[in-house]
Amino acid sequence: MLDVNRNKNIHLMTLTEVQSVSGFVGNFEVEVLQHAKYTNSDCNGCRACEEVCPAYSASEFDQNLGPRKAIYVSFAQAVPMVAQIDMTKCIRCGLCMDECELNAINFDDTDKIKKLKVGTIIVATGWDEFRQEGYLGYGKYPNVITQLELERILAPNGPTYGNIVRPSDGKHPHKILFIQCVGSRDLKRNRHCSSGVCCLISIKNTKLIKQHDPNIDVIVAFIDIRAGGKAYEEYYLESRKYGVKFVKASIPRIQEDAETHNLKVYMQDMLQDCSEMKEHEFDLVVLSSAMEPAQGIGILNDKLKLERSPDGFFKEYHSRLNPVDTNVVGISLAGASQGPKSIAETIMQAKGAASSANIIMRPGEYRMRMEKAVVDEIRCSKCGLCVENCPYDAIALDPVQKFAVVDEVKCRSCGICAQTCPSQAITVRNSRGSQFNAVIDNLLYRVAE
Amino acid sequence: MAGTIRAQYPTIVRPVLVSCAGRVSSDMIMRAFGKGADGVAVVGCYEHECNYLTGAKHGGRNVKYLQQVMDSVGLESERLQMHYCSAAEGQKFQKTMVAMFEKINALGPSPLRELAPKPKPQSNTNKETKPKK
Repeated sequence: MLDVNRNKNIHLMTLTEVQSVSGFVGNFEVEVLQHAKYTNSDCNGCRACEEVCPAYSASEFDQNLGPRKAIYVSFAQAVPMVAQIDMTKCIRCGLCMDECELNAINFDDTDKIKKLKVGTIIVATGWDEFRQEGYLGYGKYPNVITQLELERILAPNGPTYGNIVRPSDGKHPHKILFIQCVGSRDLKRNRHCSSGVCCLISIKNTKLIKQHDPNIDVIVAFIDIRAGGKAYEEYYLESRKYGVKFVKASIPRIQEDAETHNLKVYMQDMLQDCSEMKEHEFDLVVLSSAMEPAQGIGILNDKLKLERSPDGFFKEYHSRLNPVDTNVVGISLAGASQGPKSIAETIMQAKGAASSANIIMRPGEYRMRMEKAVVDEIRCSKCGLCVENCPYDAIALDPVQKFAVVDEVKCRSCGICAQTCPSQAITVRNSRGSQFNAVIDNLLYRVAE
Repeated sequence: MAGTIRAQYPTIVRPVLVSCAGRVSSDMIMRAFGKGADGVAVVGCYEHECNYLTGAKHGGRNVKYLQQVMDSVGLESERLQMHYCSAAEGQKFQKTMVAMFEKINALGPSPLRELAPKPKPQSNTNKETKPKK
């Protein structure tokens, strides 16, 4: 990211949302809303303002486990290293303004709408963690946390400075349970994706815990450990050497002891006692939750008009032959916007997406298929039905003459317009109504013979 | 797919290749009935994984409307069916085709068949139709 920020050919816009996307490959017009940071480009991220700010809020980066100020740098390695103000929490005392030596703070900053002309788009919206309130006690019991929350607890710069404590009372836990495949590989909740990486995240974190304190009992309840890939199996075996117990078990429910906040876990060991349900007590339970599409993916897709696969991620052009591009020419995918992925896979796809964008942009011209909708302007009754029904907004009414006009670049020759047109004025080249009629007639004559 | 896995469905089924279930217009379906077809199946993608975002929805809506029309003119609406099969579901395509064939066999020939133009001797060009998907 630092390299991206330093490259003079790359323009980095943070805190920015896509408002609308129009146009086509080579000539996309994107409207973006850049939210106000309330600091200008003079800010060098010295964080002096953060020290004097009296207003606190929960830190999103620390998974709401720690505090942050109303003026803050979102995390220690943030790019660009610039402070921003959360105006919903700011009390407008002006202390930060007095403290700032560079006069970088500007309370009159406003959201800006910018229009960009771009040739290609790469979608890299990432993922969110599966979190269902109440499922296995998450959200109900304070000591049931997810993998990302544990990640912050273990981090040396996190809210607990790397000390392993549990959220309910801040005590050091002695028995920790990891539950794998939460929210994935589950016929009732989400039968689609195994995230592919949560097994390895668990293995990493169990190792970290064991390195901190070998006396902690760490148990991983799994369906099966998916440690496929280079050197991952060795990583798994190494974690077993540390004394982490791996149990093939299913866990139907968790209950909390109201006084001690310890968790009673009902566990069925699938290899040993298939008929019995045993009760175990743990201090801390970590859910290895599934990767889900990022929250705003639906809103973004209203603007991009891509396809989405049944699990909610963006759909690639072809799952094996072209997992980088989408059905819209000029829009490519990178990372977890296309599906759950590890970092290595994300980098591979990102490089693929970058070169895929370059392949289109380099020649300066683009050849497209001939099968596009065409309008018979004399027949057209100017009703506008095709305009309403076109899924890609490729048809518009001519402003003067009012007959339908097809944008041949946007058209993807589905033929819905041809079906809806009451006067058969619009049709698709190479699959006209008359051609289908000839096929049908010919088939039925031959059947009748 | 049904061809690749050698799934056998009734030989009387004649596939017409279209770009999308949304492309199948009322006049195409009605033309088939007018020319003496006993039944028409529109087979498209599932609505949530439609290749063209809304195509399967349009196709399904059109078929439902035409079924009402057929009921009102006294043609059994079972002769027109909308089916959803993904491209990978050759087995399902075969099963629905067999089921539909049996149903229409039970109904007997279409009353419109007598009115259909009689076949002329043709200088057949033997145009082979591609199997659907």
